[in-house]
Amino acid sequence: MLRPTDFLLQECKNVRSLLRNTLRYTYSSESSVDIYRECLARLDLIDIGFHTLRVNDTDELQELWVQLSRLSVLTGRVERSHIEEFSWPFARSLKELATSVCSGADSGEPPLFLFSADDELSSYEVETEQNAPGLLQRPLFSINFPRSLKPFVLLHAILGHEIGHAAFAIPKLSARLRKEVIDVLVAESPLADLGNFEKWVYRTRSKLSIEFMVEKAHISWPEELYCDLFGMVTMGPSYLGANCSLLLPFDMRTVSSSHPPGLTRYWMTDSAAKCLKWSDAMNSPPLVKQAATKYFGTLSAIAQKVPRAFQLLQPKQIRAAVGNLQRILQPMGKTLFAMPPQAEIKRMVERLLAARPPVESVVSKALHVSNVHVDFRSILLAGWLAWHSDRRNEEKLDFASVNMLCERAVLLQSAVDYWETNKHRRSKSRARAK
Amino acid sequence: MPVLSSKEILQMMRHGKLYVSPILDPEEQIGPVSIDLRLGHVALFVRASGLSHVDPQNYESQQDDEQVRERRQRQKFSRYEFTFAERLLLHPGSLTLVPTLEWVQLPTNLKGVVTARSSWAREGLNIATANFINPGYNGIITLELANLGHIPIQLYPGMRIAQIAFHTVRRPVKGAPTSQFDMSFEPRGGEIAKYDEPFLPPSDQKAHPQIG
Repeated sequence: MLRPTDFLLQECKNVRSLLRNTLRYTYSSESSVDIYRECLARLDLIDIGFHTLRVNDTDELQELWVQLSRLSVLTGRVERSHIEEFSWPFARSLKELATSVCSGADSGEPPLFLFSADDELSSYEVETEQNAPGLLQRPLFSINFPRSLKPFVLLHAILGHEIGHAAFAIPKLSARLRKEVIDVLVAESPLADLGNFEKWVYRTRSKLSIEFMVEKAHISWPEELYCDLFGMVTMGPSYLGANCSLLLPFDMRTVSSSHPPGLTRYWMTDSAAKCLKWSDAMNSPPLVKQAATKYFGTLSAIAQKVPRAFQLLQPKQIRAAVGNLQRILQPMGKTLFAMPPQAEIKRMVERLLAARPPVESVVSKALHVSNVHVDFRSILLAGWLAWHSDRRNEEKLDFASVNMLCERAVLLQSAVDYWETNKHRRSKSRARAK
Repeated sequence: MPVLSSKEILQMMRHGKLYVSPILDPEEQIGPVSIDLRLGHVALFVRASGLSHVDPQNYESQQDDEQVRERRQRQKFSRYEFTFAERLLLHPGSLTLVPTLEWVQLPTNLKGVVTARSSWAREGLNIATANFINPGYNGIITLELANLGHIPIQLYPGMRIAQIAFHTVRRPVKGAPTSQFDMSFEPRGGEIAKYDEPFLPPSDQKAHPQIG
């Protein structure tokens, strides 16, 4: 039989071997080597820990075992994060958004982002490593997509919620978010007080999940509700469609320790959308107005049926929390969603309805060709509107096709941006040729 | 069938009748009668171990069940995706299917003709042999890259490797496009035996002795 330390030292060697194996692939994009180095540095620390462990120090042994186990899971994720497994142009855009949040909040070492794909439909997730502080060289955020939904970028808008969790894990940001957003959001609601919350849970007679613990729920629900608001102000109206599509298949009344009931989340996001006045911003031209009315109307119709008992928060508090969140994120680059001009939305929807990617080069009257930067969140918005347009050819343009055209647009936009960033190199080589 | 000049191409694009996008470098990418096309981000490499030879009988629809045919198709190619600045190495004698970066949508009165850029052809790179693009086509264009030289060729996504010219069709093609590749997002193998089944031996009968 192996002694515990011998077994765990062997496991260290196994993880090291797995980690080396990850070098076979291009995982993520430009940060591949950085992620490998970060994992290796962590493994070295654990290895040293095992070698210097005092005999019978079971607490330390247990702690090292947990850290090694986490690293093993992380390494497995790295191995599953080949660029073939998820939409890398979308991941690239998402990384820019997440970086603007993290770098705007903290001047320390920039975080690393690892993208991977898992098999479950519910595997949209950003792992923030809140519980592994001792080992961190650089913060590493692991962003996970469901593998089967690879090109379904309209649903990927839900990752705005997950970036909210990542932002909350940044020490310099979390205190402000707690005070100015979460506390404001839950004020004057049963969530403000554990006793009232417990009464509310039993009064609603919701279906409780087996693992339900009222204390745990009282901590996790406010953060989850804040993350929904974060998803909305960063990803824009597309967040509503993604949230709705991914929530509706499940029992919306079930109460769990980790998440508020779907009905409560649904009602809150609809209230927040009204505060943000998105539907007012899309009231012309007719093509956009019709699609936006149908999009927001469908969502509102469901929200209106939410029983009063599940309308957990005060509308004025939702409005105040949204405003505060926008103020916090405003200085952080392009973190906040900016509504594109209505004419631009119209052009993008028209292209989608003609079965073309919504981003394209434009030819002027003088026959000059130009490319403009289109934010990926505007592309997603155009996708949701095209899906709700009465002019959509239902046979030819199904949901998968709309998603694939939008994903293609994100790719084409990334080609345009890559070219614009690097085109100074072309000018030099042309000058040399002359 | 006259070929469109660059001015006519741009005018059609301006009026939304023809679509080739993105055009990253109009000055260089638009020639007198053509538009250069760039290498996209996916490559299907034909696997040497996938099949011993290409036999149209293997593609015949009644020959095998769906699973067997699909498996044969899938195992014929290895699929890779590339980000910008990653490389693709094409060995001598190898065949690779790649998409163009550009999305192309043709009206029903234009036919596209895709050819190699001469500078690449001089390096031994054969670009497009099946080079007609049907009127009404919508999607990426699949290029069949073959290295006819004696040394490997390294390629990078985003490089200009082919060009497309547009010819007018006397009478616009009516109805929906019929190409099996319509609304293509990435390359895939074709169906070489489709509609030619009468010339193939019946599935329960062996082919005549091999010639050659």
